[in-house]
Amino acid sequence: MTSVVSRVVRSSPHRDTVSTWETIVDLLTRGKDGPARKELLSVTGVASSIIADQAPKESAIVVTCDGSRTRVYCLYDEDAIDGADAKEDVLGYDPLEGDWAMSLPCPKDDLAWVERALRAKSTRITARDMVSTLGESQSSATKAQVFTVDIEAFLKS
Amino acid sequence: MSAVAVFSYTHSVVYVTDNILKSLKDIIFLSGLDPQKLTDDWKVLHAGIKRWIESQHLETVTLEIYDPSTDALVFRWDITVVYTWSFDAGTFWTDTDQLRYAIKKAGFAPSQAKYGVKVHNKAGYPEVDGWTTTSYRSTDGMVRQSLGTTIEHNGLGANASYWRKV
Repeated sequence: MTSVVSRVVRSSPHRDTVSTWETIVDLLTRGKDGPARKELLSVTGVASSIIADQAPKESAIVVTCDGSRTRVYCLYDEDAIDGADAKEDVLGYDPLEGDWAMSLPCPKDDLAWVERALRAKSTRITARDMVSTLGESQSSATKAQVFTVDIEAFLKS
Repeated sequence: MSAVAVFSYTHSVVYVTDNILKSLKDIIFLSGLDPQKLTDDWKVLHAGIKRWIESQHLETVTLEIYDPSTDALVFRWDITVVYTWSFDAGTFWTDTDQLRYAIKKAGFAPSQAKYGVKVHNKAGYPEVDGWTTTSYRSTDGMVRQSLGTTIEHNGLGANASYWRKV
């Protein structure tokens, strides 16, 4: 029988959405570099959007692999500042062992574009309606200017 | 025994930044467009907006929705940051309903429409990787409608408004 382990990560406003996802990635990869970390970080934008929607507050990010199943929830607002319910300690096993997969909870209305965005970046990371249970028990510039994102330059930096 | 969370200015910066990005996503999606491009740029957008709210240089975050065949604006949304942070203000909220109502009123963008995010900073802003200078598209023939405050955390807030064709 597969065991299930949960972690609860402090999110906004203790951490911003991007830092929350990076903390979850660190937790799941146990800080190790490699293809799994690269794949998880490739969906940072979509995952951050889901975290901003507070989807992982009540519905877990679920990670399955050849070993134990891992559920990750997020805390928000006063609970995130207080941190009393947080559980961010290092996992004692590899949650991405073998053929791993991740399911992100998502507001139903956003599911179609989120699935499409994830498919463009990963074969292992998918999304589900957050109300579905997935088999779980429940140099300083000098003048004012207008500017925008230059991704190409950013990637070269 | 009861406990009260104490929010710092840094917490307010995080809250407002996260909810500005969430608001942009909601506007794009509810306007009938695909938020994927926004999520592709999320990390860079977030880093810039957060840094410039921290330094209090950020004045406005603008979403331009435009027709790529003419480069003309279809809609423009402005989110203006208000720096009246107070340690003891004790309130935080995001008015998603007000935003949804206004987007519905503004109507869908044409399916071929594209979008981009721009910000306006005060002089002396710190540099953030991934950003470059640009200019706004013309708002000639458009009118601006204000929604008032849609995001607030201990007095650090954001007022939303949109531009539509007359």
